Amino acid sequence: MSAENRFDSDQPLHPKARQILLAAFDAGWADPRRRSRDAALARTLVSGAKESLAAGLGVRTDELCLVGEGSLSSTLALEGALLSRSGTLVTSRIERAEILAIAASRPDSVTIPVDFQGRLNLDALAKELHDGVGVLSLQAANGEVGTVQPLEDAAELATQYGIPVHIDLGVGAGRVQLPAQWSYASADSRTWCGPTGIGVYAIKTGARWRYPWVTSQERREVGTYSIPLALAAAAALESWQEDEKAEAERLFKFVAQIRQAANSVLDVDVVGDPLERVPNIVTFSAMYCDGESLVEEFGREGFSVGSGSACTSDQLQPSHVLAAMGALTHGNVRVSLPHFVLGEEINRFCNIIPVAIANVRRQVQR
Amino acid sequence: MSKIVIDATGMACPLPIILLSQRISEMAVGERLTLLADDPAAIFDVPAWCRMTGNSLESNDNSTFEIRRTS
Repeated sequence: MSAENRFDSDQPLHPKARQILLAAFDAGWADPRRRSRDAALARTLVSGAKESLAAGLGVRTDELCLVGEGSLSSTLALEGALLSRSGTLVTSRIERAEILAIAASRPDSVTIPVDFQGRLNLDALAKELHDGVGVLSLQAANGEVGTVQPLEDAAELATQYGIPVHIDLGVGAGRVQLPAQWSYASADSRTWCGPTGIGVYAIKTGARWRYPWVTSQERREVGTYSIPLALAAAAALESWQEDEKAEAERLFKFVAQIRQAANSVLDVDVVGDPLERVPNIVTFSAMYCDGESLVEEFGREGFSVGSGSACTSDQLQPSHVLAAMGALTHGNVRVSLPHFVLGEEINRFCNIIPVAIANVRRQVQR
Repeated sequence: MSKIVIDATGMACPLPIILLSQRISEMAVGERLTLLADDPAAIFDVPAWCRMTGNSLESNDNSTFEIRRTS
Protein backbone atom coordinates (compact mmCIF):
# COMPACT_ATOMS: atom_id res chain seq x y z
CA MET A 1 0.00 0.00 0.00
CA SER A 2 1.29 3.49 -0.82
CA ALA A 3 1.47 6.40 1.60
CA GLU A 4 -1.86 7.81 2.69
CA ASN A 5 -3.32 10.52 0.47
CA ARG A 6 -5.56 12.75 2.54
CA PHE A 7 -8.47 13.41 0.19
CA ASP A 8 -10.84 14.28 3.04
CA SER A 9 -11.53 17.66 4.61
CA ASP A 10 -9.27 16.97 7.60
CA GLN A 11 -5.95 18.54 6.65
CA PRO A 12 -2.78 18.74 8.77
CA LEU A 13 -1.46 22.03 10.13
CA HIS A 14 0.35 24.13 7.51
CA PRO A 15 4.14 23.75 8.04
CA LYS A 16 4.57 27.55 8.31
CA ALA A 17 1.94 27.65 11.03
CA ARG A 18 3.76 24.93 12.91
CA GLN A 19 7.00 26.95 12.95
CA ILE A 20 5.21 30.05 14.22
CA LEU A 21 3.31 28.03 16.78
CA LEU A 22 6.47 26.69 18.42
CA ALA A 23 8.16 30.11 18.50
CA ALA A 24 5.02 31.83 19.76
CA PHE A 25 4.62 29.63 22.81
CA ASP A 26 7.84 31.21 24.10
CA ALA A 27 6.85 34.81 23.38
CA GLY A 28 3.07 35.04 23.63
CA TRP A 29 2.17 33.61 27.01
CA ALA A 30 0.98 36.77 28.80
CA ASP A 31 -2.59 38.07 29.04
CA PRO A 32 -2.67 41.05 26.64
CA ARG A 33 -5.25 42.85 28.81
CA ARG A 34 -2.72 43.34 31.61
CA ARG A 35 -0.14 46.11 31.82
CA SER A 36 3.22 44.33 32.14
CA ARG A 37 5.91 44.41 29.45
CA ASP A 38 5.13 40.83 28.52
CA ALA A 39 1.50 41.82 28.16
CA ALA A 40 2.54 44.65 25.84
CA LEU A 41 4.43 42.16 23.69
CA ALA A 42 1.41 39.84 23.68
CA ARG A 43 -0.79 42.78 22.62
CA THR A 44 1.54 43.57 19.74
CA LEU A 45 1.52 39.94 18.64
CA VAL A 46 -2.29 39.76 18.74
CA SER A 47 -2.80 42.95 16.78
CA GLY A 48 -0.30 41.74 14.17
CA ALA A 49 -2.18 38.46 13.86
CA LYS A 50 -5.53 40.23 13.60
CA GLU A 51 -4.20 42.63 10.97
CA SER A 52 -2.98 39.73 8.90
CA LEU A 53 -6.20 37.67 9.31
CA ALA A 54 -8.33 40.70 8.44
CA ALA A 55 -6.33 41.37 5.29
CA GLY A 56 -6.61 37.72 4.25
CA LEU A 57 -10.38 37.59 4.75
CA GLY A 58 -11.07 41.03 3.24
CA VAL A 59 -12.31 42.85 6.36
CA ARG A 60 -10.94 45.72 8.46
CA THR A 61 -8.73 44.90 11.43
CA ASP A 62 -11.06 46.65 13.89
CA GLU A 63 -13.98 44.57 12.56
CA LEU A 64 -12.26 41.27 13.33
CA CYS A 65 -12.81 39.19 16.50
CA LEU A 66 -11.29 35.92 17.68
CA VAL A 67 -12.71 33.07 19.74
CA GLY A 68 -10.92 30.03 21.11
CA GLU A 69 -13.14 27.46 19.43
CA GLY A 70 -13.50 27.33 15.67
CA SER A 71 -17.14 26.37 15.44
CA LEU A 72 -18.22 29.09 17.91
CA SER A 73 -17.40 31.87 15.45
CA SER A 74 -20.56 31.36 13.41
CA THR A 75 -22.73 30.97 16.52
CA LEU A 76 -21.36 34.22 18.00
CA ALA A 77 -21.64 36.19 14.78
CA LEU A 78 -25.18 35.04 13.99
CA GLU A 79 -26.67 34.93 17.50
CA GLY A 80 -25.27 38.41 18.20
CA ALA A 81 -26.76 39.69 14.97
CA LEU A 82 -30.19 38.16 15.72
CA LEU A 83 -30.17 39.56 19.28
CA SER A 84 -29.50 43.09 18.11
CA ARG A 85 -32.79 43.38 16.20
CA SER A 86 -36.29 41.93 15.95
CA GLY A 87 -37.29 39.70 13.07
CA THR A 88 -36.83 36.18 11.78
CA LEU A 89 -33.85 34.26 10.46
CA VAL A 90 -33.71 33.27 6.80
CA THR A 91 -31.03 30.80 5.75
CA SER A 92 -30.56 27.89 3.34
CA ARG A 93 -31.12 24.14 3.72
CA ILE A 94 -27.46 23.28 3.10
CA GLU A 95 -25.83 25.34 5.86
CA ARG A 96 -23.53 23.78 8.44
CA ALA A 97 -25.02 22.10 11.51
CA GLU A 98 -24.28 25.10 13.79
CA ILE A 99 -26.33 27.44 11.63
CA LEU A 100 -29.18 24.96 11.12
CA ALA A 101 -29.29 24.41 14.90
CA ILE A 102 -29.83 28.14 15.41
CA ALA A 103 -32.55 28.08 12.75
CA ALA A 104 -34.20 25.07 14.43
CA SER A 105 -34.18 26.87 17.80
CA ARG A 106 -36.26 29.70 16.29
CA PRO A 107 -39.61 28.32 15.15
CA ASP A 108 -40.28 31.16 12.72
CA SER A 109 -37.04 30.60 10.77
CA VAL A 110 -37.23 29.93 7.05
CA THR A 111 -34.78 27.64 5.22
CA ILE A 112 -34.53 28.29 1.48
CA PRO A 113 -34.28 25.31 -0.90
CA VAL A 114 -31.36 24.77 -3.27
CA ASP A 115 -31.31 23.48 -6.83
CA PHE A 116 -29.89 20.18 -8.02
CA GLN A 117 -26.38 21.69 -8.16
CA GLY A 118 -26.59 22.81 -4.55
CA ARG A 119 -27.07 26.48 -5.43
CA LEU A 120 -29.40 28.71 -3.45
CA ASN A 121 -32.74 29.24 -5.22
CA LEU A 122 -32.80 33.04 -5.59
CA ASP A 123 -36.49 33.15 -6.61
CA ALA A 124 -37.45 31.27 -3.47
CA LEU A 125 -35.23 33.62 -1.46
CA ALA A 126 -36.84 36.72 -2.98
CA LYS A 127 -40.29 35.43 -1.92
CA GLU A 128 -39.20 34.98 1.69
CA LEU A 129 -37.57 38.38 2.18
CA HIS A 130 -39.71 41.13 3.72
CA ASP A 131 -39.63 43.74 6.49
CA GLY A 132 -40.17 41.08 9.16
CA VAL A 133 -36.88 39.33 8.44
CA GLY A 134 -34.10 40.07 10.95
CA VAL A 135 -31.03 38.44 9.38
CA LEU A 136 -30.15 36.50 6.24
CA SER A 137 -27.40 33.92 6.87
CA LEU A 138 -25.69 32.17 3.95
CA GLN A 139 -22.62 30.07 3.40
CA ALA A 140 -20.03 31.28 0.88
CA ALA A 141 -19.50 27.81 -0.57
CA ASN A 142 -20.63 24.34 0.37
CA GLY A 143 -18.02 22.17 2.06
CA GLU A 144 -19.57 18.89 0.92
CA VAL A 145 -20.20 19.52 -2.75
CA GLY A 146 -18.10 22.64 -3.42
CA THR A 147 -20.80 24.81 -5.01
CA VAL A 148 -20.18 28.55 -4.59
CA GLN A 149 -23.29 30.49 -3.62
CA PRO A 150 -24.62 33.59 -5.48
CA LEU A 151 -23.71 35.82 -2.52
CA GLU A 152 -23.68 39.12 -4.37
CA ASP A 153 -27.21 38.62 -5.77
CA ALA A 154 -28.59 37.31 -2.48
CA ALA A 155 -27.06 40.16 -0.46
CA GLU A 156 -28.44 42.67 -2.93
CA LEU A 157 -31.97 41.25 -2.51
CA ALA A 158 -31.64 41.43 1.29
CA THR A 159 -30.36 44.98 1.22
CA GLN A 160 -33.55 46.13 -0.56
CA TYR A 161 -35.37 45.38 2.71
CA GLY A 162 -32.55 46.62 4.94
CA ILE A 163 -31.84 43.03 6.06
CA PRO A 164 -28.24 42.53 7.22
CA VAL A 165 -26.39 39.51 5.83
CA HIS A 166 -24.24 37.02 7.73
CA ILE A 167 -21.79 35.05 5.61
CA ASP A 168 -20.51 31.73 6.96
CA LEU A 169 -17.26 31.64 5.01
CA GLY A 170 -16.69 27.89 5.50
CA VAL A 171 -14.57 26.42 2.71
CA GLY A 172 -14.84 29.77 0.94
CA ALA A 173 -12.62 31.41 3.59
CA GLY A 174 -9.61 33.08 2.05
CA ARG A 175 -10.78 32.43 -1.50
CA VAL A 176 -14.39 33.56 -1.94
CA GLN A 177 -14.88 37.31 -1.67
CA LEU A 178 -17.44 38.67 0.76
CA PRO A 179 -20.34 40.39 -1.02
CA ALA A 180 -20.26 44.20 -0.97
CA GLN A 181 -23.28 44.23 1.36
CA TRP A 182 -22.06 41.90 4.12
CA SER A 183 -22.63 42.74 7.80
CA TYR A 184 -21.28 39.68 9.64
CA ALA A 185 -18.83 36.96 8.64
CA SER A 186 -17.40 33.91 10.36
CA ALA A 187 -14.73 31.30 9.68
CA ASP A 188 -12.77 28.48 11.29
CA SER A 189 -8.97 28.48 11.14
CA ARG A 190 -8.93 24.76 10.27
CA THR A 191 -10.33 25.64 6.82
CA TRP A 192 -6.97 27.10 5.75
CA CYS A 193 -4.83 24.44 7.48
CA GLY A 194 -4.57 26.60 10.60
CA PRO A 195 -4.72 25.14 14.09
CA THR A 196 -7.78 23.69 15.81
CA GLY A 197 -9.14 26.08 18.44
CA ILE A 198 -9.32 29.44 16.66
CA GLY A 199 -12.51 30.86 15.21
CA VAL A 200 -12.61 34.21 13.42
CA TYR A 201 -15.65 36.44 13.03
CA ALA A 202 -16.14 39.96 11.79
CA ILE A 203 -18.78 42.57 12.52
CA LYS A 204 -18.84 45.26 9.86
CA THR A 205 -18.36 48.84 11.00
CA GLY A 206 -21.80 50.29 11.71
CA ALA A 207 -23.58 46.91 11.89
CA ARG A 208 -25.62 46.33 15.05
CA TRP A 209 -24.57 43.36 17.16
CA ARG A 210 -25.09 42.29 20.78
CA TYR A 211 -22.98 39.90 22.81
CA PRO A 212 -25.22 36.81 23.01
CA TRP A 213 -24.25 35.51 26.47
CA VAL A 214 -24.58 36.85 30.02
CA THR A 215 -21.84 39.40 30.63
CA SER A 216 -21.03 42.16 33.11
CA GLN A 217 -19.73 44.54 30.47
CA GLU A 218 -20.18 45.36 26.81
CA ARG A 219 -17.95 43.13 24.76
CA ARG A 220 -17.46 41.62 21.32
CA GLU A 221 -15.04 38.82 22.18
CA VAL A 222 -15.61 36.01 24.67
CA GLY A 223 -12.33 36.63 26.48
CA THR A 224 -8.87 35.15 26.20
CA TYR A 225 -7.76 32.76 23.53
CA SER A 226 -4.41 31.16 22.85
CA ILE A 227 -2.13 33.81 21.32
CA PRO A 228 0.21 31.21 19.78
CA LEU A 229 -2.81 29.64 18.06
CA ALA A 230 -3.96 33.05 16.83
CA LEU A 231 -0.49 33.75 15.40
CA ALA A 232 -0.39 30.30 13.82
CA ALA A 233 -3.86 30.84 12.31
CA ALA A 234 -2.66 34.12 10.77
CA ALA A 235 0.55 32.58 9.44
CA ALA A 236 -1.38 29.61 8.05
CA LEU A 237 -3.89 31.84 6.24
CA GLU A 238 -1.13 33.88 4.65
CA SER A 239 0.79 30.82 3.46
CA TRP A 240 -2.35 28.90 2.50
CA GLN A 241 -3.53 31.79 0.33
CA GLU A 242 -0.16 31.86 -1.47
CA ASP A 243 -0.42 28.10 -2.02
CA GLU A 244 -4.03 28.45 -3.18
CA LYS A 245 -3.06 31.11 -5.70
CA ALA A 246 -0.42 28.81 -7.13
CA GLU A 247 -2.55 25.66 -6.94
CA ALA A 248 -6.16 26.63 -7.68
CA GLU A 249 -5.95 26.10 -11.43
CA ARG A 250 -4.30 22.67 -11.10
CA LEU A 251 -6.79 21.52 -8.46
CA PHE A 252 -9.72 22.75 -10.55
CA LYS A 253 -8.54 20.57 -13.44
CA PHE A 254 -7.91 17.57 -11.20
CA VAL A 255 -11.47 17.80 -9.88
CA ALA A 256 -12.75 18.00 -13.46
CA GLN A 257 -10.75 14.84 -14.21
CA ILE A 258 -12.22 13.01 -11.19
CA ARG A 259 -15.74 14.16 -12.12
CA GLN A 260 -15.27 12.77 -15.60
CA ALA A 261 -13.89 9.47 -14.31
CA ALA A 262 -16.84 9.06 -11.90
CA ASN A 263 -19.35 10.11 -14.56
CA SER A 264 -18.14 7.44 -16.95
CA VAL A 265 -19.16 4.69 -14.51
CA LEU A 266 -22.73 3.45 -15.00
CA ASP A 267 -25.31 4.72 -12.48
CA VAL A 268 -23.08 7.27 -10.78
CA ASP A 269 -24.38 10.69 -9.83
CA VAL A 270 -21.70 13.41 -9.76
CA VAL A 271 -23.17 16.25 -7.74
CA GLY A 272 -22.40 19.93 -7.22
CA ASP A 273 -21.81 22.63 -9.82
CA PRO A 274 -19.20 21.58 -12.40
CA LEU A 275 -17.88 25.15 -12.81
CA GLU A 276 -19.14 27.49 -10.09
CA ARG A 277 -17.31 25.68 -7.30
CA VAL A 278 -14.26 25.85 -5.07
CA PRO A 279 -11.35 24.25 -6.94
CA ASN A 280 -10.68 21.19 -4.79
CA ILE A 281 -14.00 19.57 -3.79
CA VAL A 282 -15.93 16.85 -5.63
CA THR A 283 -18.70 14.51 -4.51
CA PHE A 284 -20.31 11.56 -6.26
CA SER A 285 -22.79 8.83 -5.35
CA ALA A 286 -22.69 5.33 -6.79
CA MET A 287 -26.05 3.59 -7.00
CA TYR A 288 -26.33 0.18 -5.28
CA CYS A 289 -23.22 0.83 -3.14
CA ASP A 290 -22.98 1.56 0.54
CA GLY A 291 -20.82 4.54 1.42
CA GLU A 292 -18.90 2.83 4.19
CA SER A 293 -17.64 0.01 1.95
CA LEU A 294 -16.64 2.51 -0.75
CA VAL A 295 -14.66 4.58 1.77
CA GLU A 296 -12.93 1.35 2.86
CA GLU A 297 -12.14 0.39 -0.74
CA PHE A 298 -10.41 3.74 -1.32
CA GLY A 299 -8.71 3.45 2.07
CA ARG A 300 -7.20 0.09 1.07
CA GLU A 301 -5.62 1.83 -1.92
CA GLY A 302 -4.16 4.55 0.29
CA PHE A 303 -6.77 7.28 -0.23
CA SER A 304 -8.70 8.67 2.71
CA VAL A 305 -12.01 10.09 1.51
CA GLY A 306 -15.18 11.30 3.22
CA SER A 307 -18.81 10.29 2.73
CA GLY A 308 -22.24 11.81 3.26
CA SER A 309 -24.00 8.44 3.39
CA ALA A 310 -26.07 7.55 6.44
CA CYS A 311 -24.00 4.44 7.23
CA THR A 312 -20.89 6.63 7.73
CA SER A 313 -22.50 9.17 10.08
CA ASP A 314 -22.75 8.84 13.86
CA GLN A 315 -26.49 9.50 13.79
CA LEU A 316 -27.01 7.15 10.82
CA GLN A 317 -28.64 10.05 8.98
CA PRO A 318 -27.72 10.86 5.40
CA SER A 319 -26.09 14.21 4.59
CA HIS A 320 -28.68 16.99 4.76
CA VAL A 321 -26.86 18.67 1.86
CA LEU A 322 -27.28 15.72 -0.52
CA ALA A 323 -30.88 15.32 0.68
CA ALA A 324 -31.71 19.00 0.03
CA MET A 325 -30.20 18.75 -3.45
CA GLY A 326 -32.24 15.66 -4.33
CA ALA A 327 -29.01 13.71 -4.85
CA LEU A 328 -28.57 10.02 -4.13
CA THR A 329 -27.37 9.72 -0.53
CA HIS A 330 -26.15 6.11 -0.51
CA GLY A 331 -22.81 5.13 -2.03
CA ASN A 332 -21.52 8.65 -1.48
CA VAL A 333 -17.84 9.63 -1.73
CA ARG A 334 -16.57 13.09 -0.84
CA VAL A 335 -13.16 14.23 -2.00
CA SER A 336 -11.23 17.32 -0.86
CA LEU A 337 -7.92 17.60 -2.66
CA PRO A 338 -4.98 19.07 -0.72
CA HIS A 339 -2.55 21.59 -2.21
CA PHE A 340 0.43 20.08 -4.05
CA VAL A 341 -1.24 16.73 -4.65
CA LEU A 342 0.62 14.81 -7.34
CA GLY A 343 -0.95 14.42 -10.78
CA GLU A 344 -0.01 10.74 -10.79
CA GLU A 345 -1.99 10.20 -7.59
CA ILE A 346 -5.03 11.76 -9.27
CA ASN A 347 -4.57 9.38 -12.21
CA ARG A 348 -4.33 6.46 -9.82
CA PHE A 349 -7.42 7.65 -7.94
CA CYS A 350 -9.39 7.95 -11.19
CA ASN A 351 -8.38 4.42 -12.19
CA ILE A 352 -9.55 3.07 -8.84
CA ILE A 353 -13.03 4.65 -9.02
CA PRO A 354 -14.61 2.06 -11.38
CA VAL A 355 -12.82 -0.83 -9.64
CA ALA A 356 -13.89 0.26 -6.15
CA ILE A 357 -17.51 0.71 -7.26
CA ALA A 358 -17.56 -2.68 -9.02
CA ASN A 359 -16.09 -4.40 -5.95
CA VAL A 360 -18.68 -2.91 -3.60
CA ARG A 361 -21.56 -3.65 -5.97
CA ARG A 362 -20.46 -7.28 -6.10
CA GLN A 363 -20.29 -7.53 -2.29
CA VAL A 364 -23.65 -5.86 -1.78
CA GLN A 365 -25.48 -8.04 -4.34
CA ARG A 366 -24.30 -11.16 -2.54
CA MET B 1 -51.23 -0.48 -2.83
CA SER B 2 -50.07 -2.30 -5.97
CA LYS B 3 -50.26 -6.05 -6.45
CA ILE B 4 -46.46 -6.24 -6.36
CA VAL B 5 -45.11 -5.29 -2.93
CA ILE B 6 -41.49 -5.20 -1.80
CA ASP B 7 -41.17 -5.15 1.94
CA ALA B 8 -37.77 -3.61 2.73
CA THR B 9 -38.81 -2.56 6.22
CA GLY B 10 -35.84 -2.63 8.58
CA MET B 11 -33.30 -2.77 5.74
CA ALA B 12 -30.62 -0.09 5.37
CA CYS B 13 -29.85 1.67 2.08
CA PRO B 14 -28.79 0.67 -0.51
CA LEU B 15 -30.62 -2.66 0.01
CA PRO B 16 -34.16 -1.31 -0.54
CA ILE B 17 -32.94 0.35 -3.76
CA ILE B 18 -31.25 -2.85 -4.96
CA LEU B 19 -34.43 -4.87 -4.37
CA LEU B 20 -36.47 -2.17 -6.09
CA SER B 21 -34.21 -2.15 -9.13
CA GLN B 22 -34.10 -5.97 -9.42
CA ARG B 23 -37.87 -6.34 -9.16
CA ILE B 24 -38.71 -3.49 -11.52
CA SER B 25 -36.39 -4.87 -14.21
CA GLU B 26 -38.64 -7.97 -14.34
CA MET B 27 -41.79 -5.89 -14.80
CA ALA B 28 -43.34 -4.52 -17.99
CA VAL B 29 -43.26 -0.79 -18.74
CA GLY B 30 -46.37 0.77 -17.23
CA GLU B 31 -46.62 -1.72 -14.34
CA ARG B 32 -46.53 -0.45 -10.76
CA LEU B 33 -45.10 -1.68 -7.51
CA THR B 34 -45.22 -0.68 -3.87
CA LEU B 35 -42.01 -0.40 -1.87
CA LEU B 36 -42.11 -0.35 1.92
CA ALA B 37 -38.86 1.12 3.25
CA ASP B 38 -38.30 2.88 6.56
CA ASP B 39 -34.55 3.52 6.34
CA PRO B 40 -33.94 7.27 6.91
CA ALA B 41 -32.17 7.50 3.55
CA ALA B 42 -35.01 5.90 1.55
CA ILE B 43 -37.13 9.04 1.52
CA PHE B 44 -34.31 10.78 -0.40
CA ASP B 45 -32.90 7.85 -2.34
CA VAL B 46 -36.12 6.47 -3.85
CA PRO B 47 -36.89 9.78 -5.63
CA ALA B 48 -33.20 10.11 -6.65
CA TRP B 49 -33.21 6.55 -8.03
CA CYS B 50 -36.40 7.27 -10.01
CA ARG B 51 -34.82 10.45 -11.44
CA MET B 52 -31.59 8.65 -12.39
CA THR B 53 -33.29 5.64 -13.97
CA GLY B 54 -36.17 7.53 -15.59
CA ASN B 55 -38.90 5.75 -13.63
CA SER B 56 -41.88 7.48 -12.12
CA LEU B 57 -42.53 7.98 -8.42
CA GLU B 58 -46.33 8.13 -8.26
CA SER B 59 -46.65 8.66 -4.53
CA ASN B 60 -44.50 8.83 -1.46
CA ASP B 61 -46.24 8.55 1.86
CA ASN B 62 -44.88 7.53 5.24
CA SER B 63 -42.31 4.91 4.12
CA THR B 64 -44.66 3.66 1.38
CA PHE B 65 -43.52 4.40 -2.17
CA GLU B 66 -45.57 3.76 -5.34
CA ILE B 67 -43.36 3.43 -8.39
CA ARG B 68 -44.38 2.92 -12.02
CA ARG B 69 -41.95 1.51 -14.54
CA THR B 70 -41.69 4.11 -17.29
CA SER B 71 -38.38 3.19 -18.91
